[in-house]
Parts: sequence; structure tokens; C-alpha cells
Amino acid sequence: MSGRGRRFLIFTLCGDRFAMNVSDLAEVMETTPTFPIPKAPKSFLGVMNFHGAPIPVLDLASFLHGDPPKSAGRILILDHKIGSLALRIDTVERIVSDIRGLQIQQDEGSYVRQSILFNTDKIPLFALDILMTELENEVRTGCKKSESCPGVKEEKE
Amino acid sequence: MDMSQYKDLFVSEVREHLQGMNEAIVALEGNPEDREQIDFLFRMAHSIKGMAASMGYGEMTELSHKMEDLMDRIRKGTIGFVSAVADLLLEGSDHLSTMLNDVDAGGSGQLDILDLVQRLTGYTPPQIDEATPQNNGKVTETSDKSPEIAAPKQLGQEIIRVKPDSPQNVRVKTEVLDTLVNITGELITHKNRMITLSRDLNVSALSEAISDLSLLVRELHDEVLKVRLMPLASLADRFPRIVRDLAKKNGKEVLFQVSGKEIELDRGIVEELSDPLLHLLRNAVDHGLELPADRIAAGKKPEGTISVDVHREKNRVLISITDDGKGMNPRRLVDAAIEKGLLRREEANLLSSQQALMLVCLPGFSTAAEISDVSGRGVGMDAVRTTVQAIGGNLSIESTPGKGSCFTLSLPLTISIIQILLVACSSMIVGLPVTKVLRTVDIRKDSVLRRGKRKFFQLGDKELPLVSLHRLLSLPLSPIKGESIPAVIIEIGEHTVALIVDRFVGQQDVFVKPFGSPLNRMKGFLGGAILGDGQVIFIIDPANLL
Repeated sequence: MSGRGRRFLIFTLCGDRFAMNVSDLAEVMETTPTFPIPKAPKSFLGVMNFHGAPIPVLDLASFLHGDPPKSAGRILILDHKIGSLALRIDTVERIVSDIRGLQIQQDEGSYVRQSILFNTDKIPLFALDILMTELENEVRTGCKKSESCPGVKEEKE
Repeated sequence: MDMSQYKDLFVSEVREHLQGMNEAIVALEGNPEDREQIDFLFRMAHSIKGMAASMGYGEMTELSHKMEDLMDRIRKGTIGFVSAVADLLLEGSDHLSTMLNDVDAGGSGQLDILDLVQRLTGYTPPQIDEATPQNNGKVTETSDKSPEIAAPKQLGQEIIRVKPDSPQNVRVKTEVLDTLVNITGELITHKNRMITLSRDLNVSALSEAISDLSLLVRELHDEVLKVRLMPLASLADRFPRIVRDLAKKNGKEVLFQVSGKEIELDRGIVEELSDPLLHLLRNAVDHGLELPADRIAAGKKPEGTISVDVHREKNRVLISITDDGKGMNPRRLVDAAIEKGLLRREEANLLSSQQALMLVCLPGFSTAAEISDVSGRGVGMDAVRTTVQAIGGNLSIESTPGKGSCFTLSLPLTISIIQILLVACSSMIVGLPVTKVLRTVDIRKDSVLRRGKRKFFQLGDKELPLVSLHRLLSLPLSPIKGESIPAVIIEIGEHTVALIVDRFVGQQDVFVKPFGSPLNRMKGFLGGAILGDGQVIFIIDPANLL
């Protein structure tokens, strides 16, 4: 399947690289002060003031691995059609788009259905709908279903 | 000629005409000789035909033309307005509504109308008792019409129409009104910020200027909220038709009355009220009212009465749905709750009759089949209470076995911009809607009563349980400094509790921003707000936090 016409943001988290559809993002920004969320799961850093709207910030590393953030990192604000959520990640590497040779292939992982093949690398494409469903469940029930990390799986032969 | 630019106007106007048609048809069933209603109905069908023809919607034109023909036969006295005619016209109205929705969604408004057109054209009156309207399902609406206000008749509709015949009024898209409220909310947030900054700067001229600005922002806020108000008629005008159909389906006779539907509420609240009110009306017809034979056996008139009464009380609007049906027996509700494991016997002994009636709002209390043995309530009542509380309202129930029931919704006028009491709790500041706060108190430590693990204190003649807000918010408990404990007295359903906080911070108007996914799944919060210093706070919905 060709990736022509789609744009992907490549970011790092705990030393791994991931991709996200640029169309699923509203903004990429520096970290900003957050305020505590009562009764929230520990992986939420707090709630931030994003242009006058209260948006919860999820520390993706903590959510996936249980690791506390090691650096200030960056904040990805999701597009409102996905949800009202910001994700703290480690670094933003680059945006790839319409590059000859960029391929998308089916994949499997806790938060992954596809990967993009960029140069010689295979980068898991984050499935935000799975993340949102799990977060909604966790916020509602207070218990976390998945402890695994996206893309961390045995390569198929 | 490209008519697409007139589509919104067409959809809006036809929707109003269809609603008017539905109301007139149901009213005519109760009073078939009402010449004014017959003429009105004819004019509505005629207008829809004309508008649909000019827009090029052939099937809508044809169907409304056939309905107009049938109305013409009634107008000329060739046939009488009997129940079968009402059924045909309502079916026609439903078909037109379906086609209109398709047009609104960008379609061509096509529908298979052949069968209905044939039945409209070939309608022949029944041979016997033609002029006598059938009793079952008869609904008489007794409210006054408000001719000067033609509010949108379907929620979600894009255009609000105010005083349509006056050249001084205009149609405004609801999204424009929403934007106005948002901007006003932002102005309030920024005004609060300026107040905070001016306190630090301590410049008197600046403080005065900000004080003047505050007054103007308050005035703007009041005016913007007025624009967003819409009469409850936008919902209530649909009720006679709904009650009529339900009554007919259940073989019941209903006198349906509406009063005070001209009273206005914020559009956001009216939109949320649709489902709860329909639940309550459906319950009143399905389970509240008895069948005519049972009513006669109970010494009542065969025709039951359901009334919706709306009135304003200070800054609240009260909506009561009353029926004169079989009512509910609190004792039997308690027994049912115990049987289902929702209540312990010792808890049941402490319940007042009114508290026992509220058991019908417990999730999982009953299904329709099960509840019919108890007293005929329960379906969706938990959803009704949850929705009403989510918009800052309260639900109360009164009922007398054999006499009927009354469900009252007490609602705020507006939800977006509210006054809150700010309280500190551990490291957090949270807001409580002032409308939910009865009073604040400082409880002397030595006046706290202990019973087992629970703590109480005496306020007047009432003994109130102490509830820690820290515990409810999963925050670490703070050591109590000084001789008194600050507490907020709030009413939650039938219970009054003292909510212990660390300290009172102040009162403020704030613009409540509802949370989106995933935080909207968290129970107990109305949303967030941004204070003058940029701090984001959570606004507590006490009823859902406990």
C-alpha cells in the first residue's frame, strides 16, 4: 500500500520511534504547566490550559511502560475529532510526507495496526482509537487493561 | 435557477409548518368541529406544497397536494374529521418529515409515497359513527398558543426563528449564538485575570477601569444569555402527538394538558431535556395511567389526565409531570429494592416515604415487566435523574397510591456561565456550583459526634453526616488546624451533608467548559474552568461525586 498523500509525525518514546498521522494532531508544543486532576490515573500529568480549554495531558511513557518522564519532552495536542487529550512524548523527530518509497503495511501490537516503512526502518503507527478506548475505560473504572507497549512484539518471520 | 442557497430556510420553515400540522391534527381529534384548526391545517399543507414545488422537490409537492385535497374535503364538509383521517394526515406528516430530513442531509427528498398517496386519494369515510371521534388515544391540549414566538420545533435544527413576522427580527444560526457565549465566557475569564493582576499592581485607576469593564461584561453576559434562551414550547409542542400515539397504542384515554410552555430556558438545557421528559411522559402513559375499565372500577373517569406544568421560581425553572393514575406505593418499592439487593433492611427502615419513592431512580431497580407488579415505574428513571443532575438540576417525586404521581424537575436557567464557590482541598482548588450550596459553616471540633466510623454534627434540628471532600477526590487528608472545621452544606437528592474542605477561597463567575473524551467519562464533574491566574480548576457535580 502506498503512503502517498498522507503525512506522518515521527516521535520518540523511551528510545523507540513511533509514527502518528499528522491529520490526527492539532498542535505540537513545548511542555506547559499542568494542574492536578482529581481521581485521575497516575499516568495523567494533569490538565493544561490549551487556548482556554482544559485538556488533560497523558504521559505516554508512564501509560505504556510505567516509567516517569526523564526529560521535559514535547506535547502533542490531538485533533478534537479524536478526543480532548494531549500526549507527552520524548522528542519529535520529523514529519514525513509523500516520500518515494514510503510504504504502509499491516502490523499488530497493543496500540498498533499498521507500520510505515521509512528508508530501511519499520516504524509502528500509533492507533489512537485504541488508546482512546482504553483511556475512556481506565478513567471510568479506574483500572488499566493493557500494560504492553506498542510495537514491542516479536517480529514475524 | 440555483435554489440551494435557500435550502436552510426551506428546511426551517417546512419543519415549523409540519410541527404546526401535528399540533392541529391532534387538537382536531379532540374537537373535530374547530373550523379555525381545519383552515389552519389546510393552509399548512398548501404552503408546504408551494414551497416544495418552488424548490423542485416533486414527491414532497405531490404528497402535500394530496393531503391538502383531503383537508379540502373536510373543509367542504364532504367528510368528517375522524380518527382514521387523523392517522392518515399524521402518516403524511411523518413522511414529509422523513423527506425533509433527507433534504437537510443533502439528499433529494425522495421516498416511496405511492401507497400513502393512494390511501389519501381513495379515502372513504367509515359507514358508522363517522362524526363521532374515537375515544382511545384522544388527547386534548389545553395550553395557550404563543403566536408571537415561533421557536425551532426540532432540536439540533440550525436556525432559531424569533417573531418571524416582524421585520425587526432576523434568523440567526445557533452556532453564531454558541460562539457569542464562548466569547463572552472568555471575556469573563480574562476579566478575572485582569482583576488578579490589578490586585498585584495596586494601581487605583486601573482597578476602577477594570471595575467598569466588569460591569459591562456582566451586562453583555446577561444579554447574550437572553438571546440563547428558548421557550420550552420547542419541546412541548411535540408532546401532544407523542402522548396521543402512546395512548392509542396502549388503549388508554388521555386528557393531556400543558401550561407555561412559553417559559424560557437556555438552549443547552432544553436540548438535554428532550429524553428525560419523553421518558417521564412515556412512563405516565404506559405505567402511570390505568386502562379505562380499571379506572372505572376504581371509581375514576375512564379518561386519565397527564399534565406538564412549567413555572419559574426565582432563578430556577420547575417542570412538573403529573398523572392521576394508580400512583406508587413506597412500601412496595422498598420491598422490591431489598429483594433486588439494592438496599439493606436496616437502611430501608431509615427511609422517609419520599426517599423510598426515589428508589425508582436506582440503576438496575427494575425493568418494565418487573416493575408493573410494584407500581409501574422505573424504566429509564436512573437515566432521567442522571441527565437532570448533569445540567445542574434536581428531580423529586411525589406519589399517592390510587391517586397518581408527580415528577418535578428543578432546573437552572443557564449552564455555561455559573457562579461557583471555590474551596481548597489538599493541594487543589475546586469549584462547587453556588446553586448546590445551602450554606457554609465552621464546625467546632468538639461538636463533632461519632458513631462507629461515621461522624455527624448538629445543624439546627438536623443531624448531618460529615463527608470528606479529600476522600471523595482521592486526595491525601490534611491535618485540621485550629479549633474549627470548614464545611459546605450541600443537598444531594434527599440527603443533606456537610462536605469538609481545607478552606473557603471565594466566589466567582466562571465559564464552565465541559470535558471531552476521555475525561468526560469521569463521574462527579460538570467540567473545568480557568481562573484569573490561569489556573485550571474542576467544577464538582456533588450529586454524582458521592
